[in-house]
Amino acid sequence: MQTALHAHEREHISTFSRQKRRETLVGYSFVTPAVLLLIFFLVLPFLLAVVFGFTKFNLLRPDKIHFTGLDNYKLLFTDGLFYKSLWNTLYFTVTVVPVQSGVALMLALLVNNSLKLRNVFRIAYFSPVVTSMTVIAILWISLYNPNEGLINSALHFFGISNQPFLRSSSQAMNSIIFMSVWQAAGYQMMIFLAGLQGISKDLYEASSIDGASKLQQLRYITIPSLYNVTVFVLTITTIQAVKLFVQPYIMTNGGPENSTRTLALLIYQQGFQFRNAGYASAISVIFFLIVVLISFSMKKFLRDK
Amino acid sequence: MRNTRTKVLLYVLNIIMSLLFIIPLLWMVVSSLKPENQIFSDLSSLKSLLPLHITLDNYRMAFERIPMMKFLFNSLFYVSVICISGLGVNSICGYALAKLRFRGSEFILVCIIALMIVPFESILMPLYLVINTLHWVNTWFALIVPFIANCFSIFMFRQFFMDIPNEILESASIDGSGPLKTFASIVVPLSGPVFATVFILDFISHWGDFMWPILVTTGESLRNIQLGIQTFFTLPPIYYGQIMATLTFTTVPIIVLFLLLQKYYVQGITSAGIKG
Amino acid sequence: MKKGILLSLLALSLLAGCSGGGTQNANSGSGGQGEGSAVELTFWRPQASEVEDNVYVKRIEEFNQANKGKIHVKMEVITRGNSFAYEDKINAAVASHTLPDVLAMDGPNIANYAASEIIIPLDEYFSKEDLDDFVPSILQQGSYQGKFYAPGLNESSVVLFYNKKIMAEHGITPPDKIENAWTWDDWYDVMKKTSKDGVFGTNMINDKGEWMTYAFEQLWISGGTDIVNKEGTTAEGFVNSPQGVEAAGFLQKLANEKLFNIDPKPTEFEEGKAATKLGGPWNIPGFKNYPDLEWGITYFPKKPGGIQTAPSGSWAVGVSADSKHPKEAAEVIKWITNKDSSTQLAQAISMPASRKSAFESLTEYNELPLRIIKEQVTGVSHARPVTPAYPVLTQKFAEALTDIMVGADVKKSLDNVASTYDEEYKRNFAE
Repeated sequence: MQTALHAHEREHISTFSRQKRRETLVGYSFVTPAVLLLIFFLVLPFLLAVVFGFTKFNLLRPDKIHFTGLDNYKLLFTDGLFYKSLWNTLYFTVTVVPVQSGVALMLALLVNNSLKLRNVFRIAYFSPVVTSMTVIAILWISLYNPNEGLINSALHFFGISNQPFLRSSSQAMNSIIFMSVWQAAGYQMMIFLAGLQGISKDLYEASSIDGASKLQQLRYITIPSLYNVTVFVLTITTIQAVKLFVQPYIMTNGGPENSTRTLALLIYQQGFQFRNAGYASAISVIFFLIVVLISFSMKKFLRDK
Repeated sequence: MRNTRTKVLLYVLNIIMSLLFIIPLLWMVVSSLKPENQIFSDLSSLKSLLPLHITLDNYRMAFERIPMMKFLFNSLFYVSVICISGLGVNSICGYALAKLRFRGSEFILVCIIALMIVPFESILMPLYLVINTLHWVNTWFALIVPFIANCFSIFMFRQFFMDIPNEILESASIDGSGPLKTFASIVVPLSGPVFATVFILDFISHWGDFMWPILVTTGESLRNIQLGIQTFFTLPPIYYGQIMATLTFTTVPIIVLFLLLQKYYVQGITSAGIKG
Repeated sequence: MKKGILLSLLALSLLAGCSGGGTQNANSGSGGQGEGSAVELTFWRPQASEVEDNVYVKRIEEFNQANKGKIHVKMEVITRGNSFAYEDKINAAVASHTLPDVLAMDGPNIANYAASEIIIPLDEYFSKEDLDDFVPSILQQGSYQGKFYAPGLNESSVVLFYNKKIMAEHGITPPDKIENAWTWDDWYDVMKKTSKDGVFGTNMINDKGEWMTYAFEQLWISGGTDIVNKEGTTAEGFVNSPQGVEAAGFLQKLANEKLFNIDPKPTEFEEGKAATKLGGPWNIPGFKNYPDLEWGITYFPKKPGGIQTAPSGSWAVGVSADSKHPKEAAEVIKWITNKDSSTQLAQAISMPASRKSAFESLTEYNELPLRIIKEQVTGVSHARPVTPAYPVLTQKFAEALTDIMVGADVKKSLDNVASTYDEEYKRNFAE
């Protein structure tokens, strides 16, 4: 790609280099405000966290902070809970990303039309995103209740015995996954919807004159046109999934037997509740590196068409 | 004929799915209108969604308990400032990354994607130290400035701007428009849905701010609505009716915003733009 | 190069913090109070119920009146909610040296703060008679390594509420004398009898966090052990002692036989869906919303042949090490925890007082049902473990108990608490 660009450049060398210099200048000036803000309020704090990762830093004893080299990392790699949390995080991500994105796309297609009530439906699908987790947790914990929940009543109807759901180490994570897909799909739906709005109407009109069915339109127009949007949705869904925190924090607090403990929960517990800021920072750094590695291995998806 | 059938099918599907999704919101609103002792006794029966004895007591008591309007105004103020200034800063950055070629743009993009990964929990304390060094604790700056630039928004803008045909931009630049003017007069009008989506998603994420405002504000003057809600959770007995009333009250602005922004979701803007 | 900048920024922020302690006071003085040379103090406490907040406001106003021209206190109410937000804010203030002069803290955190030297001992400011007036559990939770750091205004307790109608139906008469208090076996029999038709034998899960330690550590104490040793240096052989395994096994038995709901509705007992309930005085105001409920109180159940005990613990107030005016700050503490403050708070909210003398004017505590609470508070209560590693202990203990209630191996779960706690203590607090 780079070489092709150079060949292209050589042809118009004189006008191009001037234009290129101008484009560079404009480019820098356009990104500067955002980049400066990010450096101060995201990069700098994160680098501080990286430094803390090499220290023993009890939040309540800031004056006694001191460098301990790789001690935190040595501890980390012998901490069974770290591996368990890493596994849980990966399991959640791998399961939830395709399902949630798929549901989101389906919802977006359902409301991307001229139905009179489409705004009502949009609000409905989006409502779990804006409804407080307090409300959602009360309802889902009651739905999942192992003794008397609505889901168990339904299972009884089909002759299936009571299931423990959130209160069993083998079912808790899947219960959280199911609930998460339901809760967050509306978020990705909005992004898909914005993407669908950008597809030219002409394409559909032309194809329906050619006699294409709705399904063919979906396959040959809608899906390909959503490529960049889908890349975006998959990326941010993955990133949100690896940072999973609120649902297990409220519904299970990482249990039973750490089966829903995620890395973000571990970082919070170590850093805030146990006040081991140094150790928590080390976990953050490793967490960051792992996700970056995964992202790079997925990078071929990010290559733009 | 076929059109009507599709329509009916769409309606049926949408109605069934909507019910599955909207129940919590409905339950919250209905519960906010019920006497305290019915909220949980009705739970797990259909009665939980039927307001049989409507009362506004919960709202009255919630409003007596906390300065609701003040907290609501505080939230609206600082979240709007974040989102509006964010639209400017992030869209222009996303545009540069999508459409301008310059050395380092790919590196910046990779960094921005990577930075999205950093969990907020892990930078909370260091960020607090930075804010404290700037003497911004207990000021609006602490609530607003760190969150204007947003990797998520930049990346989203970038992905959507990628889809704008280069020909439109080139024709504008041949007409002699400067890059800023091209952006403002061509790109922005073409991108209503993206701006609307970024705005609402950014708005929602900050509307729920809780941890950070606790750290950087003390006292009531800067307190936001989420901190206000926590008042009702502080000590048992917890009055869920008042909680539901407050939560309903704080969900209304988001729904209104959502409806207002729907007018930007009009299909075919891009094609109209190309023709014009 | 970058690292240099970073470290200097860190140093800078810590330095700025050091001076921040001073500026904090200057800022909060908000200038021109017309009080001349009065010492300005700040006081942080978490938001509580409205009536409780009002008592504090009134008492601080009265203090400012009484000390006009000498001391002026500015109280800041911090949002707490049902999370650790207040503690997180304290952590941030410690890291930047912006703590207020006087701060409130939850009882079990006192040792943690004392060990980290962010609060100072108050022994020199309290006379011996004054200290002896506090109920024993207040002194226990407020002391660390032989020094006294933070008194509370009120106490708390956990009792067993019962539904009178359900008891009458089964011909059960709960004891109202402490020597006849139910044992675990008695309580188990009651649950067995009453648990049917959608009614649970008991309701005992308020939350799956601090409540677990607050309420159920007592089962260990009743068995003659505890979840850590007296010095707080080790949990091995305590939390996982044979008595401990027995206590946790009892809880698991109740869960296995579905005698309580692991995810109860908050109003299960109030709606008559639970025959008994482990709860505290804070539940009482909510009962009046349920006119059909007839309730009574009996004692916290003890192990057969074991020690009669009950949970305790309260928020307490201390003086921060950042304060430039510890003497004046101690005056505030003495005022806000004196007999009048303690009595007024007890009258306003349904929590028992922290001072023996306060009970003299609280005559309602001489009669049933509140007499039960008074007997527990002044006689048999135990505070939670006094250890600087308490945050780890309580988290891990609560997680283990929750796991045990949903079927995890009892011994293995408790062993895990012991080893995690011991490692944490060794790493951070063994000098």
